[in-house]
Amino acid sequence: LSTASDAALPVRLSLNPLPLDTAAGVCMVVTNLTDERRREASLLASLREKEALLREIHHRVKNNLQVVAGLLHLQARRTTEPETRGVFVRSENRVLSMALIHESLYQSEDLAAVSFGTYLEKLVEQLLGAHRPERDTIRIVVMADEVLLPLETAVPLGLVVNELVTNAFKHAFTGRPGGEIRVELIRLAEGRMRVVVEDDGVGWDGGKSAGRNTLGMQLVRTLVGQIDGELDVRGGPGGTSFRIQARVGGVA
Amino acid sequence: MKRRVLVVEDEPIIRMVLEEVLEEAGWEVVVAKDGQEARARYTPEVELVLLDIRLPGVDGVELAEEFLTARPACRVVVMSGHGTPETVNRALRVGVCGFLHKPFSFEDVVSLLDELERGPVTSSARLAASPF
Repeated sequence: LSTASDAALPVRLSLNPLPLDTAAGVCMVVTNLTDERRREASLLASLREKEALLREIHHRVKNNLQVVAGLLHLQARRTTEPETRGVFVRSENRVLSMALIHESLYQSEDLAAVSFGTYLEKLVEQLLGAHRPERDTIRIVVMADEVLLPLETAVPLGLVVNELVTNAFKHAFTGRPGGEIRVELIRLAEGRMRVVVEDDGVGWDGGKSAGRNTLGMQLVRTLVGQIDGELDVRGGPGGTSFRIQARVGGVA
Repeated sequence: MKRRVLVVEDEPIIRMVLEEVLEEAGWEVVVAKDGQEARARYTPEVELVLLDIRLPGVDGVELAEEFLTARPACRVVVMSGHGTPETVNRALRVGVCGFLHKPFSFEDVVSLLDELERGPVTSSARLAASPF
């Protein structure tokens, strides 16, 4: 069908048989779909606009977090006392681990979930860059299943891995020439996952020694609680293993 | 003589940190906040350009192409997000030799540039091999 000006007219045709006594009959209903199509197009345009806006927001959040990291870096450079400087550097890395989540969301197709395995690889690369003295002697391996995580799980879990890997860099190989850190992400049955950060270093003593029961470990426990996860820590002569189990779909 | 690097970045704090970090590492740093300033400061002494891919009013890849067409011996490292394949491919096609992915650790910038200094092939491989 077309309009008076020869433009194609979108219509829906419904044909129903009419049970007549004298002859066969058909009832035909023609519905003009012009308004419906217009509403659909408008909704689609609005959806695309919102997606673009959300993408831009993630981009800006990432940029702002990179600026915050820059401010912390500037402050660290003006601090001569090594411990205080370390505090600033650790904070800078925490902020960057969050920025990386927003970058990952910016790149993701549906803007709602992060490919956490890919994120872990980038995070480890970033942490290697931030630990220049250690990276020549410490090997780090990432083994990750493909797991999509929502923002509310990805940010705390990213911070947890950041803390544990940083902790291993700083303390796991004290008095040793080097070693290996393994980061694993395993998809389990029933919508659960396990994240493992383990090393073959000197073995954690449950925080009795200086430096390994600091803010980092407090953050790990708090953040694992935030995602309703369970933390299992095993330390011994063969190294230390941190295992976190949680739901893939976020907090119930 | 110090090697000269041109840092093109519209975000003042990032520009400031990069300037400090690179100066400490022995570079002579020239900074630019947009394409216009970058063109004006892209002198023959500039050996390396550290270029933000998203700049106001100019496409970073086009600016990189402009620089490399004018002087192919100069090296251009692009600062970007982890990038779509199209953007990365475009940048590689115009001759960009490396990527510094945002968010990046400022500790890493100098070592990446040093690596690039030690040999373009190896450095490019490391820098460009993992564009995502």
